[in-house]
Amino acid sequence: MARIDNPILSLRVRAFGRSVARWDTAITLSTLWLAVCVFILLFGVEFAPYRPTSIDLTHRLAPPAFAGGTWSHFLGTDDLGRDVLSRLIYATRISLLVAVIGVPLGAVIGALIGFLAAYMRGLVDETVTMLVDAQAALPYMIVALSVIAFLGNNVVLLMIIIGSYGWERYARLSRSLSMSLLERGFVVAAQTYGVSGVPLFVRHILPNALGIFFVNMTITFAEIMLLESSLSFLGLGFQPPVASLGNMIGLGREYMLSAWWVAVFPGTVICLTALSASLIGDGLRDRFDPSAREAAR
Amino acid sequence: MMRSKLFSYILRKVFRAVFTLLLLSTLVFFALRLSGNPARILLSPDAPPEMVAAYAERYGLNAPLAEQYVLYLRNLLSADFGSSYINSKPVAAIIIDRLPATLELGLSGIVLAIFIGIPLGLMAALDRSGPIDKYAMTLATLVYSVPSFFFGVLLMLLFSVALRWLPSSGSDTWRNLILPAMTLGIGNAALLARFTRSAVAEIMQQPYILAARARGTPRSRIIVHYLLPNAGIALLTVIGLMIGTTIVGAIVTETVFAWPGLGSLFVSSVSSRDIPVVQAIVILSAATMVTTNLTVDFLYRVADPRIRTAQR
Repeated sequence: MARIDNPILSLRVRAFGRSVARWDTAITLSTLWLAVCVFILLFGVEFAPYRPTSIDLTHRLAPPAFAGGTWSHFLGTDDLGRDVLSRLIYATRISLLVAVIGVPLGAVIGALIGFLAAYMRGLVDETVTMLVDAQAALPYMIVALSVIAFLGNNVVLLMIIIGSYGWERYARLSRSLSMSLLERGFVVAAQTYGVSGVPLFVRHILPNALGIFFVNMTITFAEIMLLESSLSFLGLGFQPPVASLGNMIGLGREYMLSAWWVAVFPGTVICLTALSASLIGDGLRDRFDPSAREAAR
Repeated sequence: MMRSKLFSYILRKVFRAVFTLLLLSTLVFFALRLSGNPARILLSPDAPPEMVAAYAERYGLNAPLAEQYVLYLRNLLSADFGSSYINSKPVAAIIIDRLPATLELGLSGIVLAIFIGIPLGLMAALDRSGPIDKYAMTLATLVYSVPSFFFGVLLMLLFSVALRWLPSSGSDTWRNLILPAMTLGIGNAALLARFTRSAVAEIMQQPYILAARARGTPRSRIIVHYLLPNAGIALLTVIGLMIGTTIVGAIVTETVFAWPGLGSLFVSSVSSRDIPVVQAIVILSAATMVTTNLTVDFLYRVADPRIRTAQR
């Protein structure tokens, strides 16, 4: 990390650009990758060279252009001669859409529930803790698989299942953070001045909990992508002919020996996206978490 | 006075755990029953009605729902999960048959995670913003971003296909355990390293650490007497979570490596709609989680005096 000795510059950096100095290559690359992802999410389909379902049996398992293949199938083809690049674009779009819709849902609901439990205590706290325990007692993957198995498999249901992921963790985190913060001097002081209820949460609890929430949302973003792709990998999520990153890997695993590209490209996209989200989350935490900023000083 | 307070606290927690399990078992029962007639799900759509009726009769699916529910709870209490729709074997026997493999894999994974993750996270936190911090955390974040099924496939490609060192599936020798245990353990180690780092980093800023440093307390003493006990309390939750999620953690890993445990059994039972087996695994995994959470709660209370006073 570069040290800035000019006092005026240093003040500016401390005022609004603390993280600029730590905005290193990894975070820049992550931001670029997520920008690419947003682009794929919005416009990617326009650039797909083929339809994701168009089968070409004369070009089965063709290698990528840079591994002895031709430019007509830049990332090669799968066992049915479908273009891997085109399928990758469609699959990435599906997986991102699921995560973008799913992450805020669980976070917002969970955070507020957790604070209310800590603030009101008593019966409210007991009820929330019980609900959280009930949800936490059943690992989400198992809930998801059971629901899919018994209610059948459709896209709307899948979105609801994945979107609800993680609410109980935010609730628990928010509850314990609020509880310990409510004991702290500055919050007690604010309460003696008459600040209470939701304003107390927004003004005094939330800013101190935000850093941890950011880290959790980035972890959740990655986990929601992984949940969706795990389900699809097991053959119990998005069904063919819909291309998702998970079912592409599931299919590609069977051709790992002869055609590594079928599984490796979608796997790489999942890893890069999850990684970028985590790195940016860490960067955001360093910037927004007052205690982390103090430690870095 | 204190003792009776603690006793009532424990009693309340245990009661809540039992209640949670009852609640979940009830949810499972109704979810599974309301989703349709299991006999019709299992048999082909063009099965003659007599066949469906005979099937329902045989598995007690015709009784009123309330009666089925009472019977279900009574059977649960005696660990009688009925018999598999597929091969008619008792579900309890099928599960007991598969359990050791999952325990073996889960335990290896947790041991691996603890021995890699905690030292790595600790070193990173003590070297905040230094090279160890940077590289260890980049590595942890990198590994954590790889989904376990893809990680498993990559390990298989490296160690089984390219190097030909280790078998890629089955469970005949201890060598079969290595790849699935690595898949499970390294992923968890990355998670544990991240949590250790943030827990330790937070503790390092506490006034009592600053005070200890100001008094000239040696660094090693600060780590052993101030840092580790406080970090341990934070890590208890994460490790408890790993133990509690042994079964669910096994689902993908066991499927990738054809490891004959509860995870692969669950996936195949979901695919074949073997309801009694699915139901039993769901309840078993809930019971594992509830028991672990309860234990962690107690340990928390025993270990951290601050929580005792805060909850008073």
